[in-house]
Amino acid sequence: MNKVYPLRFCRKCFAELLNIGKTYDNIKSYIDSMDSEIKIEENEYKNRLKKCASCDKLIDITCTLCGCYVPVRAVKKAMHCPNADDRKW
Amino acid sequence: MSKYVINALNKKSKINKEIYGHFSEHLGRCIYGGLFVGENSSIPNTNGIRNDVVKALKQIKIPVLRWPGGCFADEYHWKDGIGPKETRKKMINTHWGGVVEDNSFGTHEFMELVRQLECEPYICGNVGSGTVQEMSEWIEYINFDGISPMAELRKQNGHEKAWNLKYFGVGNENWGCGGNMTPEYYSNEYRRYQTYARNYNGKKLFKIACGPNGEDYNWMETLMKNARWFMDGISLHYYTVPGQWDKKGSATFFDEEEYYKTLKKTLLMDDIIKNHTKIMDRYDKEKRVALVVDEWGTWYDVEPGTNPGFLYQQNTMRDALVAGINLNIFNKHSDRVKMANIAQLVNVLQSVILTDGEKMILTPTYFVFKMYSVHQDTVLLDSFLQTDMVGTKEFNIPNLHESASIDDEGNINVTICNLDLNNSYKIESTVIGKNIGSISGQILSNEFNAYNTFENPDKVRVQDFDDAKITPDGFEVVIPPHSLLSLKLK
Repeated sequence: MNKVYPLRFCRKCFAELLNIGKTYDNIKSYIDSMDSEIKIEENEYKNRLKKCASCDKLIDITCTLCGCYVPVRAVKKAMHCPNADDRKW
Repeated sequence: MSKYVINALNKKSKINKEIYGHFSEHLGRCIYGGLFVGENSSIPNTNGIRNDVVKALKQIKIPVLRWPGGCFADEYHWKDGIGPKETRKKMINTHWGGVVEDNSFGTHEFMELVRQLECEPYICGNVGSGTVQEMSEWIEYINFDGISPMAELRKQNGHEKAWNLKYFGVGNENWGCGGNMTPEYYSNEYRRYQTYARNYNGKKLFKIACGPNGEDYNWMETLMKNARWFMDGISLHYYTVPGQWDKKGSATFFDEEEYYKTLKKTLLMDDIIKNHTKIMDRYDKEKRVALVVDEWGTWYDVEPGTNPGFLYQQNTMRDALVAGINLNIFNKHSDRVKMANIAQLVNVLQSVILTDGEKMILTPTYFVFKMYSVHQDTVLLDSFLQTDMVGTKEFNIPNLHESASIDDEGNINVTICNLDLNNSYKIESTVIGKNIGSISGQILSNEFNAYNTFENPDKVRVQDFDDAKITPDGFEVVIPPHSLLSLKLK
């Protein structure tokens, strides 16, 4: 962030504010807070994550096709793999 | 009851259609996935560009599209994005979620996109990490029809005729991601870079200098003082951020206080433009240099569960009102503001379109652009709407916000926003200089936090409005709370 000129704040300054280490904790607590009605059954969840793990569209824990953190997208019953050309799940 | 006076005898400045422009950056899923899916995708496309998105954007008459950034522009090397796709450079976009930029969307693809959209291209060149030669050659590659190395290269890459690029930005946010320059240093760099941004084929390039962020008046002062003779326009960026940068607020979960806070912050655009205009007027009283608000819109925390680097956010009726207010402000300042580009077109920040794989939804902001498209290339009219203050003690704002214009056929177009969360208002209008034969309208109205989702894509929709009545002096209308209304007086 531009500390000398606070008015000169750009999107890259914003990127520097992101605390990726904290992200994993936030994702876990976000999933825990979800209504169980919208979540998929545990075995199917693991199955989805396994498929995501071997997908070349995955970077770290982000699906680059939809921008979602995969553990969050995959846990939702209503969601599907965003790859229109090759649905993994 | 609020009195509203529209004086059709007092025609003011032309409202350039480019005020209704958009911005697309290589960031998140704006370009890849949102606009461009490649020729081999099962998602219906023409030359790799999504048919559904193009069709929707043509319906709002998109007039101009800025590309490739944003911050990305000052790291973009255009030669990486031409030639056979299999040989184009692949790189990791380290700033935005670590995605691979394979350069499959480059100059040719962008010019194909604007061809399909039937809009003007606005390209931003690389000052921060590029060279004068690189920028100069890009313009030559795009615009030169004669014999030259760059024209030959373009022909080798399959495009015989030059395109016709008019709008060119010389760097982006050079006070920040575009090189962390001082205004004095950038002024000199601007003068140098623009010297080699040549006119070709007898057509004049419209050169836009990097301007200030928000209330950075020193930047404007320095640029106008040192470089005004060399520019046709200067940019301004101002985002509406309800909270602080590290906790901006949710796009969809907000209370009444946060609603008013957001609108109060967006109304600041009026003061910011006025203050920059005062500075510009001191150096350019003829208003030759355009103010180009080429990044504006809301910026919230990203949707839960999405990578923050993708800047993916939802879009409610609050965003529709933000858009309506800003577009009214730009209309009112159309003597100086000649272009504006909301950030960003698809899937990033205040988008008009969101996509998920093959699915596409239109946001409330989309419908505002559709309703307001009637102002494009019309003439601003003198108008005054009586207002009261509403909101909370800390965040009080006017209840109503408007602009009015007259088109070539003599029709008056009016756009009014009711910003009050709780009350509808009767507006009694006097129209001077025109007899009204008929009146028609459209309205965008819903719960203040309503939005469209992929599961429920039609919750917020524009609807025809027939409840305005012609009176001996003008018209009468009642506008519901937190809604937008457009009227055509024939």
